Formats: sequence, structure tokens, C-alpha cells
Amino acid sequence: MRSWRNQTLPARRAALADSESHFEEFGERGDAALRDLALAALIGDALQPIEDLAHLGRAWDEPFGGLAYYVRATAYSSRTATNFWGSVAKWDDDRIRVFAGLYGRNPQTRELSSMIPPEMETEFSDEQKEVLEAAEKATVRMLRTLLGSLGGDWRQFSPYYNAYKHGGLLVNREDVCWVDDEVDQVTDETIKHDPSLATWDLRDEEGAGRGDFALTSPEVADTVARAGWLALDLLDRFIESRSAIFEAVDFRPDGSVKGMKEMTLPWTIWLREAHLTAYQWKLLGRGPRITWRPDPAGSPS
Amino acid sequence: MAGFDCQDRGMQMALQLRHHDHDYIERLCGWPLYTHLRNAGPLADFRTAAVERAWSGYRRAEANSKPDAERGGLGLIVVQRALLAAEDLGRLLHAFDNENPWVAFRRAKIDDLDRAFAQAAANPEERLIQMGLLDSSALLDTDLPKSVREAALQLREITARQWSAQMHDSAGLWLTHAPLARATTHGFPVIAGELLTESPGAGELGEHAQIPDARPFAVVMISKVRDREVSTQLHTVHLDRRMVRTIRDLGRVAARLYGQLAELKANCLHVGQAGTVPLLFADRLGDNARLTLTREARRRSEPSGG
Repeated sequence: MRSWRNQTLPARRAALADSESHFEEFGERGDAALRDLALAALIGDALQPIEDLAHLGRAWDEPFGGLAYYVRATAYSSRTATNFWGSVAKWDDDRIRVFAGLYGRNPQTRELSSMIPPEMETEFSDEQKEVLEAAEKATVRMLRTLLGSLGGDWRQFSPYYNAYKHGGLLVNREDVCWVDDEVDQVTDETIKHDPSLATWDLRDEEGAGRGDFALTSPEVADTVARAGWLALDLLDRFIESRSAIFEAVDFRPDGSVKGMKEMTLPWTIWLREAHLTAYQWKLLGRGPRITWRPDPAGSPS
Repeated sequence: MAGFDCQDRGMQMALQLRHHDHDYIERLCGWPLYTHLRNAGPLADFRTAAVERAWSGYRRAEANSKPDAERGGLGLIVVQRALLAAEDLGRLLHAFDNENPWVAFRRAKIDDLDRAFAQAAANPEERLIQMGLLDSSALLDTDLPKSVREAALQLREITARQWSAQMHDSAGLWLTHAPLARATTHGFPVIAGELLTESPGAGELGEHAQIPDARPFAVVMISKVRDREVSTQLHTVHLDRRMVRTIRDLGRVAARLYGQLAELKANCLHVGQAGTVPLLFADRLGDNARLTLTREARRRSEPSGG
């Protein structure tokens, strides 16, 4: 998680910012092939954090039993992102709660348990319980919308991303034109269509292509860039939601555990100001604070 | 957030270019690949520029004394972009070593690329001939005037030497760093080195990773699942300035070589010849040989030149 925070997120942000500014500079002038490549590269750098989110999301929902959660994210499968984003629309609330880090799943039984320790829950007042529940519901509602949106972006743009990274398979506009399906012979009078971007299919035997004819290049750029930044924002929150528990551990210089520090469960990490009332924010803030008491048996708990 | 409807609609792509022998292109590589080869120059330029921009980002971070992990991450973007350029070249080499180059180009897997680069490094001459560099023996058999033939032979050898060296460099880049191509693109399972070396360390992970002297560095984790067993390989990658600059240079070499070989192949297909000697490195010839070849090239480009 610390590596994601300190190394990966800054790298992904820098790559997306670079591709975005390069497209803004060259995407609408100059050579058509270079313009297409600028757009394809922007799609590539915007979709990478969306794919990252799929790898991390799957790791925390379907970890390898008996191994640290992150290990699942290091096992490559070409289907991970497509399966993850393809299933998002069908997720139940529990799966979103796990994604949000509000609940954890037992790797063996897949049973769900809240990140709030049971002995702590009994100490909450009814009002506190209500606000925790309101925050939980708002998180589920918001993530359902945002993840659904990213799933749509993945479905729409991932074929261009794949074509760009695997051989730069953009269709050469100088050699090819696009006409309606029913056209038999292309003449000067034939209506031709101009895609914002077109790529060759990687798997099709004959080499069919895919093009976007609905949006202009700047619209595609704007859409994917916003999706990329959203994915980066969600990645940031995903990481913060998991880091709190590790950061509460007080290590000795040799790496052994000395004890636990007071921590705040980041229960509202996914929420924006408008998701709760001012009073609810005042009551809950970032989330419930946990102070660890010495275990009578003497171990740091 | 996306606010556009996405509908699938069938459409046809129509070719806008002609060739004196349509079937020849169809037989040798297929029209889609031919049009792709004709577009290789811009792709090579774009990949080169993308590597260069990433390198500038790395240097800026260095100049601003950014933390090791952040600088290392930016170094990994240089590596990723350099490897995209190498992958283009690997696909090209793999494609023309197959019966159906268009299918092979698009469907190449990591193992195919590894094999293509290993073979290219072992026998670059064979690959260059496959890509359209005229065979020396074929050149000797031509009925060109002796002075032209000798100059062409010289140029052919210079070209083969240059490209063979670049092939070795590109193969080295790919074969050394291929795990990073997948890792930096799919989920980024790469741990920043400082987290392994600084307190409190990284436990078992830190014990198994190879810790180099170079700073920054990173460790790539690649896990494979077989039956119910998970095995994880760790690859250490140096991300200090010297290494990142080397990778940037190799990425530029791979992009340039891809562009030049694809252009060579497209030219051969265009004129309907198995091989030719490009004038790319003519400036390395002596004055007489260069003049002889330039005159010959001019004569051939004239309408009655043959």
C-alpha cells in the first residue's frame, strides 16, 4: 500500500498528465497519424489506473486463502480487468462494502465482517450507529454509480487501449476510408465516415477493426481523461482505506511489533461533503477512533 | 464521468491505395498489415517522443530531489514506454517469421516475442533478409555495373552491421526487462525499493528480494498459480539515472529500428521485390561510392530509368 502511495500513484498521475497535455498540444493539429497516436496514448494512460483498480479490487475480494491479500494482485490474467468491470453492474451491496474496505471477507469462508471490531460496536450510542449506517449506505450508493461508470468506460475504450499497447495497431487513415455496410462500390459520391479513432482488432482472424464514430477526438479525450483521473482518485481512497490499519501498528526498528497506536477507521473516506449533513459530519468526522487497550494476557492488541 | 451512449454499428473499411499486383500483397502479408507498415514511421516517432517525455519527467524529479520511490516510479514509466517500442519490433519480427503475418502480428504473446528476439539476436542477418535487406549473394548476381555493385555491397554490409547491432540492443532490452512490460501495464505489482531497505522492512518479501547498490530500485512480483500452489518470482530492477538513461536509449533504438525495418518491408512490397538496399546509411560510404549510388538511385527514379 505504501508502495502504491509513494511510487505507483505518482507515476500513473505523471503518465496521464503527460499524455493529456501532449494530446492538448498536438491532438488537433499536425499529422493525422500522430494525432491518432496522441489520442490512443491518452486512452492508454487513462485506462491503466482503471485496470489497476480491477487488480486491487479483485485481490481484496477474492484473495488466495492463507496468503497476504496483495499476492492476488501480483498474479496476472488477461481477463482480470474485463471480468471485474464486466461484473460491477451485478455486484450486491456486500461486495461494494468489501471494495470500500468497510467490511472484510474471510478468505476461507467468504463470510463478511465489519472492520469495526464487535466489542466496539456495543459501545456506540444509537445516534452514532445511525450515522455510521448513513455513511455506509451513502458509500455504497456512490461507489455503485462511480464503479458502474468506470465499467462502461472500460468496455467502451479498452479495445483501443489494447490495440495501442500491442503494436500500435491504429488504422492508417491515409490508406483506408469508412463506408456504410450496404455499400458495394466506393465512388467519389459515396458517403464516407470519419472516426475519432479506429484500431484493428487483435483477435479477429480476418482483422476487423473498431472505430468510434459517435464522439469527436476532443470528446473522447475529455471522457477518458476524466475516467482516468476518477480511477486515480478511487485508487487513492482504496489505498488509504487499507493503510490505516497498517499505520496503526507501531514497529520497532528491527521490524517486530511494539504495539498499536490510536487509529481512526476511515469510514467516510469515499464520501464528499454533500453525502452527509453537517451534523453527521461533526458526529462522525473521518470515522470511529480506536484506542487499543493492553491485552490482559500481555500481547499488544 | 462518461455521459455518451455507445452503440455498435457495422461499417466497412475500404482501401484507398492501389498496387500493380493486388494478389501479391494479399499473398505476402495481407492489405491490413501492408497499410500498417506504411504507417510505421509516425508510430516510431511517437514512441520515441513518448520515451523522451518520460525521461524528462524522471530528470525533473531528480533535479527537484523527489523521494526515491517517486523517482523510481517515473523511471518505470520510461521503462514501460521503451518496452512498448521494443514490443512493436518484436511483433514485426515474429509476424514475418510466420505463414500468416497479419494474424501473427496481432496475436503475438510474450513467449512469441521472447523467441523472436532470441532468434534475432542469434542470427540478425537472417532476420534482416526476411525483412527485406537484399542478400549479398543476390546483389552479386545482379547485372549492375561493377562500380555500382561494389558500392551497393559496401552499403549493404554497413547497413547489416548497423541494424544487427541495433537488433542485439533491442533484444537485450526486451529479454532483460520483459517482465516489466506486463507488470507496469497490468496492475503494477512493483514494490518501491526503499520500502524493502528502510525500517521496518518488508518481512519475508525483503528477505527474498535481491537488494542492489543502485538507488532508486524496485522489485517486480509476478505470481503464478498452478493447481492450488502460488509461486512468486521477484525481479529487481535498477532505476538509477544511468540505468534509466540506458533504457531510454535502447527504447529509442528499438523504435527507430522498427520504423526503418517496417518501411523497408513496405517498400519491398510496393515495388514487388524480395529485397533492396536502403540509402539510410549512405553517408557512411566514401565519397566515390556514395556519388555512384546516388547517381544510380536518381537514374532509377527517372521515368525511363528502369
